[in-house]
Amino acid sequence: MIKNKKTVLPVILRELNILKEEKKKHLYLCMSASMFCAGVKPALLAVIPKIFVSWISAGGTGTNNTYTISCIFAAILIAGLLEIACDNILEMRLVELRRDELQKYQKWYQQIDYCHLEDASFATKNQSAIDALGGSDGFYGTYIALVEMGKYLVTAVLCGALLLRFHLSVVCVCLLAVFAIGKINSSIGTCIEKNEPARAKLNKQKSYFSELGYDFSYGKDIRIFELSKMLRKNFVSKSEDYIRNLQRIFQRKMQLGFAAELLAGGRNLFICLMLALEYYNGNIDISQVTLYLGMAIALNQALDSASDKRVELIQHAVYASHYFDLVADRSYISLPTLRGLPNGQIGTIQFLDVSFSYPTSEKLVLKNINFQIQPGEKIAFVGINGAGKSTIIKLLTRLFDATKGEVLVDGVNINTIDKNVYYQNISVVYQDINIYAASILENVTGCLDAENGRERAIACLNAMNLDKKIEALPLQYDTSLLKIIDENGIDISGGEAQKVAIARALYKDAALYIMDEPTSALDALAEMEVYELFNHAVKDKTVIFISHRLSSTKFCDRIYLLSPNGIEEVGTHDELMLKKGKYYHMFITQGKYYRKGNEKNGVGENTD
Amino acid sequence: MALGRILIKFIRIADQAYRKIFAVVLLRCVIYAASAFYIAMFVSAIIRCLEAQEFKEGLTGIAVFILAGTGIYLLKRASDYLYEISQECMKERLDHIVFDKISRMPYEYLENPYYLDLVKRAKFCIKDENCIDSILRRGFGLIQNVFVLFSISGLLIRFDITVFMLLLAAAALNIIFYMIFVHIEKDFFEKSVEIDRKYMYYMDTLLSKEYGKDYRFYTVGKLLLQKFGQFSDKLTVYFDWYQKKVILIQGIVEAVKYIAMTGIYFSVFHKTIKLKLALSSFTFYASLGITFLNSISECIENVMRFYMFLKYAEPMIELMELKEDISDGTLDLKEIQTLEFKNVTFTYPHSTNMVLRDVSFTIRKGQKISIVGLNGAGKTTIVKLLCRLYQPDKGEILVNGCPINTYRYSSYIAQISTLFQDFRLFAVSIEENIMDTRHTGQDIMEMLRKVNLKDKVESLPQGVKSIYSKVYDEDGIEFSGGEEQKLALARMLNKQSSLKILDEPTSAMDPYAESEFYQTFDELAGEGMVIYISHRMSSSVLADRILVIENGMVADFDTHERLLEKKGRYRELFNIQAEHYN
Repeated sequence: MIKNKKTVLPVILRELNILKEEKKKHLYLCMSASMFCAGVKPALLAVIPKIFVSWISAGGTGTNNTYTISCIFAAILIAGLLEIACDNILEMRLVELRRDELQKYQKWYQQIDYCHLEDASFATKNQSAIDALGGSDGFYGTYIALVEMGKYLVTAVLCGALLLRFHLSVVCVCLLAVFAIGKINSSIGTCIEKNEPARAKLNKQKSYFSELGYDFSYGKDIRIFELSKMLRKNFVSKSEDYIRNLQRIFQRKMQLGFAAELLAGGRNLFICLMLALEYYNGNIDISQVTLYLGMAIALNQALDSASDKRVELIQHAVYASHYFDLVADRSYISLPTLRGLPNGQIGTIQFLDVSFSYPTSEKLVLKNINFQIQPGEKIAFVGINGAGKSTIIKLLTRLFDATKGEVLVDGVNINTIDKNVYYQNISVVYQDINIYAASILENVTGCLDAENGRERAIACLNAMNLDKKIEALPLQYDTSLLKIIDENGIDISGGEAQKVAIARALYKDAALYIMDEPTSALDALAEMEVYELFNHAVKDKTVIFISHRLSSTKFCDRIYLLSPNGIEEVGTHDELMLKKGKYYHMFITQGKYYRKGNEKNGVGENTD
Repeated sequence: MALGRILIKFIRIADQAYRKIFAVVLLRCVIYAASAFYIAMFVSAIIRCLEAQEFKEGLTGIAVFILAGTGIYLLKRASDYLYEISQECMKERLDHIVFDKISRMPYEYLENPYYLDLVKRAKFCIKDENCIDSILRRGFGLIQNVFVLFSISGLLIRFDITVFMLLLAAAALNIIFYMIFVHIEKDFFEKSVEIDRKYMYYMDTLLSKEYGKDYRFYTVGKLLLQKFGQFSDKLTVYFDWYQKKVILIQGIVEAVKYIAMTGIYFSVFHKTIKLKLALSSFTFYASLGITFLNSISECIENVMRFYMFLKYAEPMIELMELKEDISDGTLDLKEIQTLEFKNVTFTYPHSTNMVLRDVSFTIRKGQKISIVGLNGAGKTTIVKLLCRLYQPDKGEILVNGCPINTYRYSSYIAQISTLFQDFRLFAVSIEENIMDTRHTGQDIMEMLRKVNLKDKVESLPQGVKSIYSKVYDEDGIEFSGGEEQKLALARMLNKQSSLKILDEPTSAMDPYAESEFYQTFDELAGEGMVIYISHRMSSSVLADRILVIENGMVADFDTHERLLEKKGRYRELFNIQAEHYN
């Protein structure tokens, strides 16, 4: 209960504040008007039968009453129309507001430290935030529930005030009943809240299997290995776990609901008996009974509805709090520093006794790594899987921070350099290729309408030999990639997408390039072409390659051979071959089939 | 599809999913109808008790009446519980049915944008819009409304025709305005579906960790944010237009409601005076009239929402009605002895590019064949046709002399085992990922040893029962790219099939692993037939023969040595890679 108060009130205040921040103060007026108009209606409606009843008791003559009644109906109608207008305006603006908030979140998501993206507990929080900002739950729901609750409270106040003229005890009983019922409802709320982590986890589990069904990329393997039965079994079992969890909660809700209904019955009995007593004692006449009964009914309905809305409000606010708490948590974004790169761009790179383990694990993935790279060098990191090549890259690109030791650029620890400045100075190409629903040009420049960059971007695409293909298209460089947003968009092959990704890296034109297995999806001809084109374009840049294919890194200035124990060997290809160590063996092994093939042939020629 | 047909199909689907739901919803409606009447009669019942009766009888009457009401409300709570839980059960069952449906859909649908869209829309219906819940509630709410309306009509007609006519007039006006509203909404919802799809793209792309690295190093993230902003702005304009129409219609309906209410009160009043009826009669009939009005509004809204959500359900229904895999064969396949492509020509549906032209070749049991060629030459297509994911346009594929369509699919596919480049592993236990579903009781650890994963798996706290990936379980295990491929390889080898197909088997492996792989390859593959596709020409020396595909046609089909002698594309590709190692 206390936790609810602590969570809910700040959320409500925050959301109301957002209206002020977003220059939507007129919505305060909208909300108030809606609440008042809606609140007044039931009270007025309860007065009407009273007037008729006393009129009938008096014989049913005279026209004063006609006038009064018509005026009251007119007032009700005006209130109703105003309520409709205000509610709809509110809905329109709230949808906008929700979208704006979503965009703020999306922006925040891009600014947080990368290491969180690989953390499973963050993934849950991310999902909660997304849930709070999508649809009518959470952020949006809080506003609506607040207004709805307000409407009922207005009615309650008006009706309660009138009932006080009858008997204080009646109002007291009503209030007592609503508090008691309110307590019951809030314990339902607490139950739900306590259960939420478990429910969310079970939901995630069953959703995984549900999504499998909708994700066609699993289709081949499911068919060929006949996995659908096994997957379905897992799916059904997770569904059942989920339903069981819900059953427990819903049952508790029902039991508490029973208690609430019994309380309500008692309250109704009290009110009616009080009215009956006063009537039989001659203190009130039948028309007053009608009035007070009507008012009491309206009061109780309003109080009950307000109480229900309060529970809804709490639920929504709790959902919304997941979002607000997440973005308010400063630990997700490292503080910016004012420090830039010592030389404006990345020059020498040095790893000084660097060790690293992932935040959630104790196992050291890297141990005492030391190396130095001069500007303009072409370096390769090779080694078996699990040796730590990708990890070194993650540290070098500041996606993660070293656990021990330092990473230096031009003698300065990279942790002291502003992260965004640092990121701006590296061009990276990864194994997974990501192209986006935007034009080819925009995919390369990363900007909307980059008129100044257009020429340069086209040059980068040409450097990757994509000009012929692109210029054959009707919209050429402005053709959209992917079909999801623009129906006239095109799909491109894996190899072509990789070339676009490399063009993007070239366009950025940083002093440091990092190429993490960029040609794994390409065939031999395409791979050769890509390396040729790329190496030509980055002649005086620092380039770091990661590769399994020792053939592709032969030309590098220096090659580091990594193993789980650290850097095993360093040198040029020729030096390492002369050493006849691990590198030598790896190279021989990888190429032996070519040798074997050529030996079989009895031919020693290399090329034509 | 006509509304009536959608409704019937929906009922059939709901019945198939969770039959009990109908009884539960019916019960709920009966109880809600009862409580609606109770509320309508409340005031007049109390007044009746007071009016004509002595103190004791009056009090007793009141007490009994209130007790009855409490009983109804208790039942209400119970029925709410039943409904809530039934509805969740039904949603889950529907999800299961969709899952089954999609796994049995002809594969070519999965690469067809129309079906991609259909499935997305069906998913949206079940998951996001609470379609099912709304259809049930609104549908039965409608039945409840109709019942209440008919009962009240009966009572009112006997009381006063004028009042009843007034009510009918008000009802008619309401209906007219709601029809106008429905017309506007129809347009709106049709556009909404497409809007939602695009919206989901932005949501998925901007908030998933896959693109996290790109967003930090490049400005594409900001680009997408801007695009999303532009998209949102367009949406706002569109929604505003729609909302303004809503205000107008709702306003008119509200006016009609209160004018009618005025009329009812006055009519009942006049009748009461004329016939000198009791006060409780006045309140009773007036209250009935009001309830009638409210029920009409509720009824119309139920009709409208019911219609709307039924339309929403169309994609789901269409999905459920899709024909399953086309006609299956009848023969049993024990083992593949020969495999023949005979003049096979093929173009992907929705494409104009002929991917395979008149391809013919034969492979015999025990042979290891490498398929080689540039990207887009048609290599993977051959494999997809072999796996019966697609059917050739012309020509035939024969296994043991019979067209592959004549074999029962399940017995045919049991003879094929694959490792595709875009393979997928599942978030179930490692054991379940690898084992052959037809032959349980295998030695999983032995297979893991062969692919060099035994040590890693044994070091895990739950060993072979550990869940793969952390996607929904923090205790799940993440594997590196190379390890994942080893798992997929284990899965492929574990299946007792006579044909093994590998598509780029060593792309993510380091040289040692690659060498190990090729070394043990012969041993692991046994006597079975092997087809593999690899860009690395180095692996083709292991094959007995190499099928060279160029531009969808067979350029050559010969041994590695003889192909090197001929001065063709094969030699060119081979030498490019080989030169780096000399």
